[in-house]
Amino acid sequence: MKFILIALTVLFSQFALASEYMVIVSESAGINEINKNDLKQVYLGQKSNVGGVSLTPSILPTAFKATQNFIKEGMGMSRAEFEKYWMEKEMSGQATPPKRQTTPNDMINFIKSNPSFIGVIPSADKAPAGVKALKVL
Amino acid sequence: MVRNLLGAAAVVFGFSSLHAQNMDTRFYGYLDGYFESVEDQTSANGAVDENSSEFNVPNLSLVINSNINNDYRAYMNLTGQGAGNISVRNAWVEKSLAGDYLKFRIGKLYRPFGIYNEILDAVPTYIGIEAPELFDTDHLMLTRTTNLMLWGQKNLGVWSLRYVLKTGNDERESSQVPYGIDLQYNIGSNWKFGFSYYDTNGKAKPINDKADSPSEGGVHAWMSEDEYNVMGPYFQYKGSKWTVQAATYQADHNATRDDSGNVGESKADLICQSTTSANQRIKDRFGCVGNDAQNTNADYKIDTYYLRVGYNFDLESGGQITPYAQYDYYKNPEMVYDKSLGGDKEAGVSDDGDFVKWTVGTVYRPNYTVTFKLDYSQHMQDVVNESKDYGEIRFSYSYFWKF
Repeated sequence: MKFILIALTVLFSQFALASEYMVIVSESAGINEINKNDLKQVYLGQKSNVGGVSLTPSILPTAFKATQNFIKEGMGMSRAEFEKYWMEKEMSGQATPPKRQTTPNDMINFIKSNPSFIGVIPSADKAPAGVKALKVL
Repeated sequence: MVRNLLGAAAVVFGFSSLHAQNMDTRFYGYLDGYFESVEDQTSANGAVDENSSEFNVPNLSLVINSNINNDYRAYMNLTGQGAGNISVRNAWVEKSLAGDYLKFRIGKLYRPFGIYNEILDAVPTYIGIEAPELFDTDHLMLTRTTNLMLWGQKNLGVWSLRYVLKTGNDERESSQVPYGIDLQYNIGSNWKFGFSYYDTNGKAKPINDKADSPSEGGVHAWMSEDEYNVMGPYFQYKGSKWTVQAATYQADHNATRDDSGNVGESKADLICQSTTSANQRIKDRFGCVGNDAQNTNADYKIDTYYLRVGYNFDLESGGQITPYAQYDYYKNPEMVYDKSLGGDKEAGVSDDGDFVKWTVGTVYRPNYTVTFKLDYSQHMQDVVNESKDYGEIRFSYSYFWKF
């Protein structure tokens, strides 16, 4: 019984985290889904093309809960680990870090007009106009 | 090609209106400085050599990193070293030729070679203060920068393979084409396994031929020519708590010492005359007879390896403390002691040209932009048939900033 309770708690906590962010691209981007590993590699600067579609990462400040959950659940990293990883990449020129957007609205407007970018925003019932939510496999 | 170069120039100068909406340019950098105090040590002739404490005044670095639609990238790293003149550490342009699979980079760039060469400027991010012996400026095993690179990355599932082929002016004597290779197998963002290789592919000469300071590459200042290669594997595990790094390299040199001019005047002769540098090992190798070096043939091998381990403790304040330990070994039988002749006090003092260095220290990051490091090293080597130790304490601080 105890095991079932723990399993349910873990399951629902994962669900809660996963539902707190939405991965978006422009409506005109030729991609509808992305697997978790490709998503991680895009946000680590290790991959810039998924299924023939060029994808450049964009991110909100880590003060946003959606960004925190994305780093923890989507990337499987701690916030400090993610920031240190990118500091090393930035300072050595090994890659260009995710483009910073200030607010979710800025992110949506930016993604709308830039089909080669991918972004993460707080979750909503449906994707805002002009962008589409990617299904993360 | 012309089109590529024009595109590349557009990145550098920011004149591309065609791609302007997707141009992403960042400005950031860091400020750092350090203090070190080295105990007095025994010189190569057995006498006490006093070392003074040293403050390294802040270095201020400005980095400009620009990207157009993952197609072109430009990167510049300008540093006011010692708060003095501004130097260009890196300035390059990159063009993607086949997505992530093949990219072309040209300019002045740090060569990918193992774990550390590309990240040594990223002081706040790594454990330790000093570079591994391979890239210690007193006894570099090869140049840190080169000029042209073809590279790419193949991703499959959680792993990726990065491959790099590079060449440049390096230390070549005339029209030689030195080349380097670096292969790196990554599993997720935690594991790295790699192998690096470098070959002068013909004769090379010292970059700094005045022989009054350490060489800027793998050819010693007292050589008239040298052909060499460097190779070795490396490994890194970097998780949220543990960092473990290890690497081993060997350089194989086929060199000729400079014995030009009148007796007593060549670079090799000056070393025979040096009371601190000409220990028995050097006298034997150089064939010193009085102040004349009679043996110009210098075939030798350099060996080095290191192990670095650190563990992150997360603080409630959001900061981090990372205690670390390091073990370094370096052996270069050709190294001389006197720095003013292009030598190095660590390997140069030793009877066999080797030394061991233990280091313990800690990194304190109150937040991810500010880093303090404090460590202590114990150097161990045999000098005139006796085991000699000396200690060294260092403190470093750095501040990462961005617009």
